[in-house]
Amino acid sequence: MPEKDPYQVLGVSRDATEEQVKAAYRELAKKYHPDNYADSPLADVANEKMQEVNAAYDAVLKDLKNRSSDGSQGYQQSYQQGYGGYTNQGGYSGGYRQQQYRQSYSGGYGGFGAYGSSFSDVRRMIQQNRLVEAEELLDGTPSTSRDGEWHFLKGTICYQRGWLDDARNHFSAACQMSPGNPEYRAALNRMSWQGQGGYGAPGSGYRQTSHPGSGMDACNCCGNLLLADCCCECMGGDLIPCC
Amino acid sequence: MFGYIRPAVGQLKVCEYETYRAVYCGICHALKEHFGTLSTLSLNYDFTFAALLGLALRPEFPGYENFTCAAHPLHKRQRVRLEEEVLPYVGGCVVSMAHAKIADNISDSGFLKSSFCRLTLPLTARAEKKAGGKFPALPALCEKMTEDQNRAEQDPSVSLDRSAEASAAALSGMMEALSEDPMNKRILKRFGYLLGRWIYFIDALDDLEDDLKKENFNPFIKRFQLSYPLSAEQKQEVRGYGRELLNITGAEMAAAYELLELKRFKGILDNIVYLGLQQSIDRVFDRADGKKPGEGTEASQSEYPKGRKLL
Repeated sequence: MPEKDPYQVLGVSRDATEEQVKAAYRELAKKYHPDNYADSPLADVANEKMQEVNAAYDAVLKDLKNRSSDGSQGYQQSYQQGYGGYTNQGGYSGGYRQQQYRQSYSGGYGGFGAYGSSFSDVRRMIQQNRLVEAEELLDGTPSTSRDGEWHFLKGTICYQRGWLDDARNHFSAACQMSPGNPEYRAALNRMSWQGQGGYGAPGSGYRQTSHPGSGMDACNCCGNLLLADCCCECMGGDLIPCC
Repeated sequence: MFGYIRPAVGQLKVCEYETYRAVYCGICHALKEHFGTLSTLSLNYDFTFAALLGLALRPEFPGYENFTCAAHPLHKRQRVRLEEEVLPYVGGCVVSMAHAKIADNISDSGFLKSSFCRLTLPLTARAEKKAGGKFPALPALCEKMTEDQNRAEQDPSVSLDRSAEASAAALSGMMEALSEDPMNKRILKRFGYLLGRWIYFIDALDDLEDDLKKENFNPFIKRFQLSYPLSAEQKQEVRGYGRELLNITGAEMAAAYELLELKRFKGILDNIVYLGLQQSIDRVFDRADGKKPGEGTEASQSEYPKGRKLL
């Protein structure tokens, strides 16, 4: 792939300030966040995009730093202070990439499948995009041993195929059978959130232009949990039993 | 089944509005050049969106030219200059779909409507043949769509998803061909599938009461065991469910759309994907309630005037 102009990737002009660059990066990171593409057949494309955005962000920040060190002494000092403060926070390069991002990707199917799953073959086939075989294997399961995981996997296949109504019904059945499973819950919550007119995953903050901050921080964490609870309740489940 | 994919005009910039028109007129021009003057009658907004997307994905852009439209001879207008790829292809899609629709109407409708369709059939058949000569994949896609749709409608236990499959697969195939880049093709394939689904469901919701009266096939009638006349609660239930279904499909469309690398027209396309689809849902439900455009509860509280029409 030809090397792309990092400024173009972030969608900022060459004389953008650090603040503008960060804001642009935050928006893109929210948009391509792996939670928004969990179980999607396009997850790998989103992953690639995210890496491209990350590389561009690093390149632009480095460029900004170089540029400012050519400037006057006073400017350089204040800039470096600001920058130091930013890196100490662990900023976005830490927050989004190393923790959430890596985890949710490499964790994905393989991680869960390893824990004594009765459908590890099916999970592997879904991962390899062999949907027809995976579905045949699932449909061969006698109806008495169709548990929460069966419904979750069936729902995932429907979802990948674009059969979103069936997918939601299966995710819902999976959550009813295994109420405590976070994987099934996340899939159902995402669809309930989208059904109410949201985009991406609940709490991803994507397309919520009124809140330029990150999707999940100390302030709106509770709000997001409540929202997730409401979503669960309207689908017959419950996330926070006391409310 | 067409005309649901369009921008929320009030939220377009004036230059974007002009661009949208220029693309619309560009396809009209392509239709006239390649498939005959009469074929321009089958032009619709849904494929204008397809052309916008196709043009947005190309590295090079053909530019605009002035012309005088036969339907509006007093005004000078601008249109996208005819090129060899996107516009003729989208034109081919338009005539192929129009032909499939008319052929389907003949088998489905009453005497009067089917006689009218029988009269137009030879014309659309000719255009469709031309389209097939230019783009050999199109007739096969449409044939498969008609066949598969009939099969789904015969199936007594058909689900909502299954009944949308035929339209979704056809649009998926058509949209996929808008780009040569393998990555874009993959994204367009999913996007087109969801787009076809979205159009199918909104069309089914739009026609619900008509279909109930005439005992035509409609997936929502099957799903909710409806019978004529529809009670107010049933109507609410179907609409609530339908809106959720459309929202979920729309959100997945948006997720795929965001991965495409657009070279231009991002403002217009964003408008259609994020605002236009929502507005179309509102319009369909308002229309079913007998409200005129702009009379909806939201619109009457707006601080803006009703504004201009789309074209």
